[in-house]
Amino acid sequence: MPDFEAAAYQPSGTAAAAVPRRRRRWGRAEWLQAMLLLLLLLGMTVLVALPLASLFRQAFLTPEGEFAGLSYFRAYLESPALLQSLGNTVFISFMTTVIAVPLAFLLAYALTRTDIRGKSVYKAMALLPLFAPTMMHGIGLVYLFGNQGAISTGLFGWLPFELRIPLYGKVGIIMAEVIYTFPQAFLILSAALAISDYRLYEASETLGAGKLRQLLTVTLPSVKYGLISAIIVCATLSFTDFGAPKVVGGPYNVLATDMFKQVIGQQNMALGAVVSIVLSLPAVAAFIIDRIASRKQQAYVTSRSTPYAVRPGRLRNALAHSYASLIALAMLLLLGAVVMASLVKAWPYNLTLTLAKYEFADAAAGGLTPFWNSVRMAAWTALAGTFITFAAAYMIENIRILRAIRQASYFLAIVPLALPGLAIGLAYIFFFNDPANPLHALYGTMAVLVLANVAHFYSVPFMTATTSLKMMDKEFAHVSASLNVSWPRFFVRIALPLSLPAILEMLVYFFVNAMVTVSAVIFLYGADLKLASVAIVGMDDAGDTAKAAAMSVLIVAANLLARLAYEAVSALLRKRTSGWRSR
Amino acid sequence: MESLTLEGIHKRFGAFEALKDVALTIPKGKFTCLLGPSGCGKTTMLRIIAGLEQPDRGAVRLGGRDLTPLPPAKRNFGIVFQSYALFPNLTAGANIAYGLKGKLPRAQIKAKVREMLDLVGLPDIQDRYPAQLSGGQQQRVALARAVALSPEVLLLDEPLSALDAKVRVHLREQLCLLQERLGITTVMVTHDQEEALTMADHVVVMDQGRIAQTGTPEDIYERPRTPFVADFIGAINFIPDGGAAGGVQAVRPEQIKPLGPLEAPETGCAVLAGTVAHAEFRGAYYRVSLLPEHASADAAPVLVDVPAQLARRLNLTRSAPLRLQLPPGESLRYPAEALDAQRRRSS
Repeated sequence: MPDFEAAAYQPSGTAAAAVPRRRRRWGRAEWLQAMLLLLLLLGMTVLVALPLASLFRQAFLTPEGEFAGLSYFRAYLESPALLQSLGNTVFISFMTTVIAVPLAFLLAYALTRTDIRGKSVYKAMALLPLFAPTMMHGIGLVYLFGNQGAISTGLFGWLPFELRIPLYGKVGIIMAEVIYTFPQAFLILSAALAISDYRLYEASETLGAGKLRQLLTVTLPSVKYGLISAIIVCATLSFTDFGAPKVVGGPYNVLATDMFKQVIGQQNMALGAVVSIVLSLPAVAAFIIDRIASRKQQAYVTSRSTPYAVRPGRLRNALAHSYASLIALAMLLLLGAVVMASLVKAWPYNLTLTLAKYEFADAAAGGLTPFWNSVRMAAWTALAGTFITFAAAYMIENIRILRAIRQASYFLAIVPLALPGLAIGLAYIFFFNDPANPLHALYGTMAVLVLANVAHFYSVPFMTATTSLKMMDKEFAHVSASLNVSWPRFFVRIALPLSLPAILEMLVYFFVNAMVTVSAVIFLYGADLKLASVAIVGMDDAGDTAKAAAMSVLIVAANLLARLAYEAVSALLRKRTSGWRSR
Repeated sequence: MESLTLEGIHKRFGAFEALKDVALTIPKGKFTCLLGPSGCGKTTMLRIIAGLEQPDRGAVRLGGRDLTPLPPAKRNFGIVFQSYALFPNLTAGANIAYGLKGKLPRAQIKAKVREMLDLVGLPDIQDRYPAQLSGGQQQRVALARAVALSPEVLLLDEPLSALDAKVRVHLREQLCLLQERLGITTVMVTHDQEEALTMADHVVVMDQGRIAQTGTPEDIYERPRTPFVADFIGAINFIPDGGAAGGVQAVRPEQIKPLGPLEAPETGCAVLAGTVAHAEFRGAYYRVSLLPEHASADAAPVLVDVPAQLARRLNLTRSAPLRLQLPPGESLRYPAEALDAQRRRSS
């Protein structure tokens, strides 16, 4: 299809130039649209572009405002300790990817290409880590494999042998990161495996290909882009994660913990900015690769593809069951250990049950306040984030004027995908803590936390909204226009109801991620606005691991509740709107 | 209601010229078909009429009014899209009422929806969602929605192409009856020449961004002005007439009479002899391609329709001999260059 919009602005030949070109004059609707687009661009600039600019200013300018060039970067490269961290981080990221992607691929394969029962249960178990802050994976590992861990002590001495691993350090970090990245890779690979074209399998079979050849010539090529995506996500998430290394890293330094020390410990903002830029580099590179890969993928599956048909296979199903159960068991064990630790008097010496750890009485922060702060922040993030992302996606998809502004807004919308939370957090400090900034008043308030979260998690819901809007028939808006119906009414009556499933998904995504995040908010929270995830870091630092566990459990519980509410509302919605879909 | 005129419409998409200075008058109250192969510019033309696309040059007028700067909403045209674009979250009734809200009092809207549903012959489906309707029903609801506002012009973008062959034939008739009853100026885009011939009062054949010919269906079929039109509308044979001018004679298959083995041709009629290359069974008749004797190697076979009974008698297997009687008198003739140009394009 030709790009109509582009064509309208192209200079035409001399013959056409002689006649004044016709351009429809802007009516009220166009002026309104133009205003909204400008507002959107302004919003995205404040949310993403200006904070990033402040971050770069810190890294390239001296405090006096002179250009420092790469001198801060040179200082960084000349520090052996920091270089060691860089090497460590690359190692962690590599090992995590090498372990997590095959594990996730196997599970995705077991759940998409067999007809075993209980798939939804297995899937739910595999996704459990998404609902917890990454510190919790570390804490769970400590309770299982730490010095007093249930497994390392041979079930507290019930077993005749001990099972000790050198947890604190790289082993622990890698294990925690694998748990953290596993569900992400699993989701991507499941989606990729689910859309393979069955006709290709039939064709290869009629041509006499064996199972192995089918795997190599059909399955792997068809999930190639999914695999690339999964690898990139695992590598960047584990490269930039802060929570797990903080808890189980011990003396093993990674970039994220380094940066934390530079900023919080030594108040060395310039070096912090440099590290956060270094931290973003692989993500930016990966992001570009991913964009190119996903662009190519669109041509791979056509509307005439047929879904994969599972054939009976008892041995295969038995293997799939065993593997999926194993994963589910591991996830449950981890969560179980944390829940258990939060409910007993003194792990592992006194295992009587108590709710004392949930009172947070002698914890530095006041009781449950951090938890409720987090819930409030997550709720606001969900509401504001969903509203902003959906409105932005809608405007970018449906308004046909001012193409340049739409493209700029689109670009700013996908940039956060490449930014680690720590970089966003630091950028927000630089931007909002600047007394010259008229928005300085927001610094240290709930608003700035919500904004940082919206910016941090902007891209995925934006894509969800865009995909949902793209699925709508392009002619809907035209029909509406030809019937002389205003576009706000079209939005309320048609676009919004049709996008409701996507909107619910966006709400729960923002909520859950805002609950678990620590990286973006750890620099930003105000003195009287402590958050649950930050409290976990603090309590764990202070040696209050059981209380940190209790707080983690609360976060998981809140997230599971939010998710259940989402499922319930979705089910209700599906029931109410079943008339639209079924014949 | 007044006739719709297009003046010097020019439209390009990048390097591609979709419409090249097209001028056209669409008679009021009539059913006009824009017909042509894909990429000929017919859909672009419809979208320009609708206001969904702006021409680079030229004007769209309704009577004396210049519509060109008006957005679709201000034109009061009804549009039915190829995909129907029925809102899936609204019932059939609500879809029809969608454009009426706020323009009529509630009670009148209700009555209007009923009236429209009766008009398209679907009185009982008011509360059903589009997904619960068949393709043909969806199409008629889309039509009802488009005419509910009593538009001055009704625009149809390939409205029947997504339907089964049987339903399509049925709906053709319904659509024509409806148009006649409402007396509304209607423009339909189609690539199906049969659809255009059966439905339209007025056919506009388009080719490569230009209008190739306009006229009644009979005009277009019987007196196509160029080899392109002749070839696009129905099947036709181009037979070199052997004259010094090097022209070609254009003959439709049904104008050619197959001769029995001993049958003599009528006086004044030329005879063409050859061998059967292929015979395609079409139910009541066979469409036979015949390789003429003494024809050059690259000559196209001649198509002729042979009634099934006769075909069986003649035993038309491959390479069987067959003689044809060409129609007498003046038939269509084109200069050879025109045909060559046409051949170069279609190959």
